[in-house]
Amino acid sequence: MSRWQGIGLRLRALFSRRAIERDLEDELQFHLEMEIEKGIRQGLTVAEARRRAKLSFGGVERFREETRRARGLAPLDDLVRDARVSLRLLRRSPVFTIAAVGTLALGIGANTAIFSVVSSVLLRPSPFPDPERLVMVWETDSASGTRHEPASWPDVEDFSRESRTLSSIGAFRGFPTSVTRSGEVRRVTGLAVTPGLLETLRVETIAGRTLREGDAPGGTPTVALLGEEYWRAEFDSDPGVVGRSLTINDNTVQVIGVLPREADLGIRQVHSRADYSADFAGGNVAIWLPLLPSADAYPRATHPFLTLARLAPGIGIEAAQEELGRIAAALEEAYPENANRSVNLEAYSEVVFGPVRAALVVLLGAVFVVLLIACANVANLLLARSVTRGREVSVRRALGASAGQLGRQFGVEAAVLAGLGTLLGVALAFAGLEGLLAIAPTEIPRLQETGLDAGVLAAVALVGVGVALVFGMIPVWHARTLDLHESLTERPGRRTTEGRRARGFRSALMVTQVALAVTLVIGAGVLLRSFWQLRSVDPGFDAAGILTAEYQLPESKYSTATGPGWPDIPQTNGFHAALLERLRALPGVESATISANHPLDPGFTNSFTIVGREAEFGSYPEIRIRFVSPGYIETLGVPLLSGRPVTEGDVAASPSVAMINRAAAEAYFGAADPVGQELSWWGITRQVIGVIGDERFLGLELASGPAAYIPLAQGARGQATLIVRGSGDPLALMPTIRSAIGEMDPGVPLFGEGLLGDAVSESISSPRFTAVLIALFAGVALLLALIGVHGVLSYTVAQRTPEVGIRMALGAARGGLVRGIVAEGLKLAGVGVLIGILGALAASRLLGTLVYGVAPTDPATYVVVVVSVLAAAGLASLIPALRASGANPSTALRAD
Amino acid sequence: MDVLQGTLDMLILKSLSLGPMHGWGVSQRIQQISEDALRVNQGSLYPALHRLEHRGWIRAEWGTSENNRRAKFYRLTVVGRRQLEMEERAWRRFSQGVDLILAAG
Repeated sequence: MSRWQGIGLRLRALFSRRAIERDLEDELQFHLEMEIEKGIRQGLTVAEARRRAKLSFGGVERFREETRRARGLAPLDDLVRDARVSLRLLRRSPVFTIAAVGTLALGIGANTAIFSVVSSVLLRPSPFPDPERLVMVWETDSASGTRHEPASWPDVEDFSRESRTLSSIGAFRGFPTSVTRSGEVRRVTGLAVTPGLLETLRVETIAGRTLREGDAPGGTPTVALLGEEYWRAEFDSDPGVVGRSLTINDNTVQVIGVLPREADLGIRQVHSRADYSADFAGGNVAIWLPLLPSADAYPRATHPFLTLARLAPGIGIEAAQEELGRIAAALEEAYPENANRSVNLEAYSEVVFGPVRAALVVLLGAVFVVLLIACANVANLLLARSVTRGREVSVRRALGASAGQLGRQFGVEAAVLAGLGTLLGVALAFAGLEGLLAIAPTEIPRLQETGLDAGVLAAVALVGVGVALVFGMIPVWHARTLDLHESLTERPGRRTTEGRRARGFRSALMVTQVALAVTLVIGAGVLLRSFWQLRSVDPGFDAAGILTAEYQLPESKYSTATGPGWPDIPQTNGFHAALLERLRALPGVESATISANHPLDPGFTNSFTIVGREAEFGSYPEIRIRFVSPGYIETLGVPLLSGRPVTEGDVAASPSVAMINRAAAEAYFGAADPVGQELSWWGITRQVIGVIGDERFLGLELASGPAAYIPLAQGARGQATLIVRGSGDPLALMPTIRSAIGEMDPGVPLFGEGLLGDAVSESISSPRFTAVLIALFAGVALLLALIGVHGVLSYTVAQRTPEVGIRMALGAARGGLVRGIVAEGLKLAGVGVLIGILGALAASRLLGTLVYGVAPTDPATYVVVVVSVLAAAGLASLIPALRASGANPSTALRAD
Repeated sequence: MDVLQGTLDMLILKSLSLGPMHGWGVSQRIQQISEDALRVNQGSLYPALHRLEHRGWIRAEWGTSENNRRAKFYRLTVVGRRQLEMEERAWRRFSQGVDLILAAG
């Protein structure tokens, strides 16, 4: 018989025990009857024949057992029996079972949920072939210290032509896009990419073809690709969409294909890594457009393109960096625009996953600490139980149970516990993952793909098995240390005393728990403090009551004949001004302004000269350019530090002016007053009319760079953000604002409306996510550790009840006893705290990149945590101490 | 005389090599052929049958006995036949050896 048949028989034996027993019964019955018949044939009476047959048969039970053994059933049989016994025992002590299974489920559930996230974000293979060969090519500017600057188109072409270390190179740029379908205009995320980008990523289309040269004659796209999710949601996954026409940004384009959702992996992260980001609506890319820039439209001096390259086979990133550095040096020689420029190659995966890796590693570590503490608690519980079961163990050993048999029984018990805990934990993770994903920041790439996949479940199962193995050993180990004679000769009913080794083990567990909890709580404290700091950062504006919404003036109506992207200045400015006037007249609007940028949108930077100080050109950081309407600083509450703000008088025809922020004043003018000075860029000289406060447009955690604010009327833009300060609920103003715009021009879509306060809080959702989760884990860890401390001390005290009784009967003061017990608890907790502090110091390096405005070794946090943990530990030991000393001495004595 | 330890399996296989048989039949056949010299008691017969089945040397099936009762029939498998040949050879060499030693006396 093959091995499989053998296993089949065994399984059958396991699962159809009754049928097999019945078969055996029938077979023996048949034998017996044949035996009786034979007797009758030989002339015996029926009764005599039956008697003899039965006699010759002997004990049936004995060879039933032997038959079972012969079938190889015994070991499995025993396991099943042990599991049944375990379940019965566990049912009989529900408090223990609930505590152990619940604790394990908590630890395993939290680990499963976080590990699912880590697994899908960091561990899952990239959808691109050979992802480790993908590199971002940034330009650098040694004058301003910029390390992550997008590239200029001529530079990309030169890199592509000259390089031997790159097998392909592609450029891309994200921007919000208008799609007009059945008269309705919708804003979606668009990404313009060169054919080289798709080639570099090596993505294939789901339907249709990919891009090729010639898809955008004269710079105007004639074709588009759809993103998978957009295609599914808006086109019902219809492959027939290929070949259809679509109106995008007022142009008619032909849909040529559909790109899989993986194709836009990390575009958002890449954008936020750039030293300045182009407009990007965020979310999954809905529309892919061909980007075929000409050197005319994109000269060497402008740097709009994010660049991704694939390393040639066998080439390392250092070799490519070296080669491109040489090419860049040659370009620096050849073109004045490239002065001070070089390149900075960075692994693509580092750009996409680097920022979240630290946070995820910290979370994974935290959640693992929770599991360790949970395990320590379960170990404690099991140890306590095996002590109370010491007598049972002793009796069984005395009756000849081998260590192996006992070990199996305990192992099975632990396995049953671990199994139940794991199952419940997975169920918890299922429920928790939903909540986790709901609060997770969108900055985490590939998060939407998170789920409990086979890999995660396998890892969880492995943890469960590991837990069972370790815990199974505790009672076995304890059983070996039992003194057989002592525990058997004690009076019946008396609790067997705990050996010194068991007590040591218990104390060690408790110290470990406290240490782990302290490490975690300190880490959490630092992160919470950092988050608190971040929350209380002054963004430079007053977000309360402010509503923002964006609109885009259709190019067909608001552009000049020069081409798209060249706004018709009178038309555009006319619309903005008229809209502003209408808005201000609306009831409920306190003030309103229009800006080209959302207050949290970093916009772009530009090089410039200070008139009269041209020689310094390029030696200071570039300036960030923002376009604002009159009323900007008044509406947002940005302080005016000197000079005057942009007013209604600053129109296209009047002298060119700019406000600068405090950072710009300090960077370029030091202590001198910049008002009246002149800045020059794009061939236009602008007089500084005022200095205003710094807005944190780079995010709350980053200081604002130098910025210049140009009157929107002097730099007409078709894309604009409404900023409205309303009384009451600002969002309630949306319908009136919408109808106001509709009355002016129904072809202007309004989108992205929201509260500025929400946007600010969204901008710190990543640190909030980490801080909230780690605080949650730290809370659980601390609670579990305190339960552990309390459990250990309760147990020790219970063991010492007779001693306490005697001492009290002899007149010992109650206070002294309580102090003694609490002191013991505090002593152990103190050791744990010390080790925990060392752990926290060791872990503080990990926190380095995650904290803002607070040292990863923040002394205040350490002190607060240490004091609170010691206080909590003292309280946890006080309860059993009071219970013991509160007992009547005679009861205490009799308790034994 | 009870069957010598270790030879029971071979005797069962041999009995079954003559045709499928139920447990009682096997015990009767061994008893008859050995002219009542060997007796197999049920206590060792059934564990042995189940052991052999488990090893794949014999296979069991429920069928109808000669007196029209439901009985479990065992028959030799191909692997069992090979096993029997092996055990027979080994046994003959063993008994020849014993014979030689006894003859030498």
